[in-house]
Amino acid sequence: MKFTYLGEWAMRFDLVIATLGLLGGVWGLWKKDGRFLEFQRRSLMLSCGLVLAATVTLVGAFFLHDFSIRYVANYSSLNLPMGYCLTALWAGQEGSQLFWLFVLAAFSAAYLWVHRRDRSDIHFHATATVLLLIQHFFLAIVNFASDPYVRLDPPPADGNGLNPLLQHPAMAIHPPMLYVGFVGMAVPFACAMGALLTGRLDEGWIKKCRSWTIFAWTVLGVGILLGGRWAYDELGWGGYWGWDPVENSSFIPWLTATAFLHSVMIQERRGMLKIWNMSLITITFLLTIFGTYMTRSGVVASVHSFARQPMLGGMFLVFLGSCAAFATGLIVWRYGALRSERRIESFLSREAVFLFNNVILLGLAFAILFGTCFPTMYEMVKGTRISVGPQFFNRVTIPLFLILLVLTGVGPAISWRKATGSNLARNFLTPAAGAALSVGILWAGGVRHPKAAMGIGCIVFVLSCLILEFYRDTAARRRSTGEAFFPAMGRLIGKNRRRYGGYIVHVGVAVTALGIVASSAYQVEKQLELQPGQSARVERFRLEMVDLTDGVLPNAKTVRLRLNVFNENRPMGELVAEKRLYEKTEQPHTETGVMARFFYDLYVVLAGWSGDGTAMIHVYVNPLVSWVWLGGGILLMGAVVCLWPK
Amino acid sequence: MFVAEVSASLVLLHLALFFPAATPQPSDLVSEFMCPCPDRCGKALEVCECSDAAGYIQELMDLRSRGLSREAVREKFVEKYGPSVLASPPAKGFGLVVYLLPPLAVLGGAVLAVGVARRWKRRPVGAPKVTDADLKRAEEAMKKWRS
Repeated sequence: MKFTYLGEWAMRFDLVIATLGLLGGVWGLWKKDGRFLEFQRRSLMLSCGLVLAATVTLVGAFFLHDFSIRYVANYSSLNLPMGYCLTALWAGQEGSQLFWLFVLAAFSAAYLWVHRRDRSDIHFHATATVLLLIQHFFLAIVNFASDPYVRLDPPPADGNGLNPLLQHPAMAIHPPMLYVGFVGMAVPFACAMGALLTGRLDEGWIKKCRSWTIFAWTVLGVGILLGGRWAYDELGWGGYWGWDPVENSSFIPWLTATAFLHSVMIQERRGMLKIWNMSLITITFLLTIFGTYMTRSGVVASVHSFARQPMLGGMFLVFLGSCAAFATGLIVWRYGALRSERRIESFLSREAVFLFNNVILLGLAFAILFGTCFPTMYEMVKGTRISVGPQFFNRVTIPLFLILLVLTGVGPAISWRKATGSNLARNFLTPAAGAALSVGILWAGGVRHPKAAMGIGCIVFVLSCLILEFYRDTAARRRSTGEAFFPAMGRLIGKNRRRYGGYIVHVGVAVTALGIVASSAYQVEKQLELQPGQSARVERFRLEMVDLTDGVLPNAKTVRLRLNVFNENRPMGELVAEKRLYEKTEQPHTETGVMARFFYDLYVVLAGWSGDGTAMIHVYVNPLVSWVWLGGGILLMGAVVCLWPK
Repeated sequence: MFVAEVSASLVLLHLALFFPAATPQPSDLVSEFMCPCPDRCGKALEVCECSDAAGYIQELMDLRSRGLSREAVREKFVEKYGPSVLASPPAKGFGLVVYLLPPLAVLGGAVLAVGVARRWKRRPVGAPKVTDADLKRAEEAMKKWRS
């Protein structure tokens, strides 16, 4: 279809525009010439528009089944439901790169618009130059190495179809959220580099990039949780996090961004850790590029490896190295201006706790990164391949997560500069008692799982610290204003959104952690073989098989298992689990049956069946899984409070 | 505060009463292995959806039901499919690096952070240079604050 040439030409022309704009920007910054800087701004705007045109055209080609475009033919088919024509955009390598570029262009345009009043500020233009530089790299990729507009002549009558794993509603939200989270980190990185380029190293750049960082961090965090939800529903193994290399590569920058969000507070309040903050945001950005490299190069095998293209690896590595060298060079150049203005007065202070929180977060990021890359390193050194699976990651990261949890409670409650003994006793004695009480309750109840008991103790400690903070601050406001409790709390949060929004985020993290601990330590699994009319017990639940039937969907054949579920003898409803065989890909695919309740999920997988109608069923009882998603919702709410405009 | 701790206790009580101590599950053994399929999919066996995965799990269960210890099952699998079938690298030789380096890095980071902070404590850091523009901004802020 002819209109698709519009998108292709837009993509080609954009490379020219971006190159000219970049040259103009560099010249303008060097010569401090406003005309060239304005030219760069307009070029960036135009470039964003052209990327939009290229992306919309490709999506249009999916909806119109234009199989003359190879990418459309490879990742869709005539019987693909219309809703998945959009998700097909990021199903393969070329479209993913174009989508990355599209998100970056959207961020660049948003940056230009949000800070439009700073056009006389050279930092604004330096940031735009860095954004344009990153955009230029991705434009080069889609034009030279991973072209989504390659044509087929003659076009096939039908396409190859979409990977069945991607045919899930969460896949319409999860990948874009990860992309937005990843790409969003480019803005704070560009702000930091802009500050280094222009020498504007006061707190201005931090204030400017704060909201962008919180936004990207939140979206990335929620995207990771959505990925967990997708794995839980689609992969059929009863869990949501498998320490898959690609999952890891999205989690690692989230950890370093968390460290950055905490350490910038020390710079704002105390004028310290300036070099550290520059380094942290650089590392975070580089890790987002590294994550994209891991996903795209095929260097690691993964449940997410939909789109491998080893030749791209080299380009990513060169870009990664160039960015690292560029940032390091700038930090060394400005070293003198980045010295701390104050010193740490005591190790019992909020800044010291934040510093240790940074050490633990970076330690976690390193452990996960090292574990993810170790099989490749081992193969290079020893010549044989080994695996680093979930067992290793659990063993190495759980102690660090426990320390981090405790710091999540301590950080908000301890004083800046120096905490006294009475401050510590006042803030931490009750939470510590609550934690001890909770471990005692578990022990008395016969639950003797040491790691889970420690985890739950830490979580109760964190929640108690945070609730105590809210309670005391609200009580203080009530005393001074005479307001009722909840209006006082609402106004308290409204008056200092960043602080209390942060506390809400911490509550969300603790609730998610509780869900993770409970569902990992207390999961019950049973394998059953049932015939219609037969029933079996799993813990306090009775499952009665209704039938096993064949069915047909527009693009797949299905075998559907129906079960009646009883809690003791009380009916709870019907559970349906399926196996699907997609026509185009001929891949078997599991659709789990999940009965979600507030305190547990009953999770059923149809593992197989035999000719006489016997169904092989895996049943899991997963306690508090809903709390993992609930915690994500609370985290999102906290972030919205932080970001809410004044 | 009381409400928070009571709520937390109720949740814990619920866990203690309805989900008593986790018993070893079949998946505990499966979780020690990666999928050894010819495609080298690189997925943990309990997560893997490939068509061969169910066969490998059954093979594990058969070995276990023949009375083989966990260790013996591991050895049999390594013998048959190579070291990459294990979900954790061997804790010997170069494989030890993956276990030692992360904790050492955290420890090193903590020691470095303490060392740097101690140096800061000993050495008074110079006050930031205050320019005329800074003074002017401060005066304006004071005026605004007073008004």
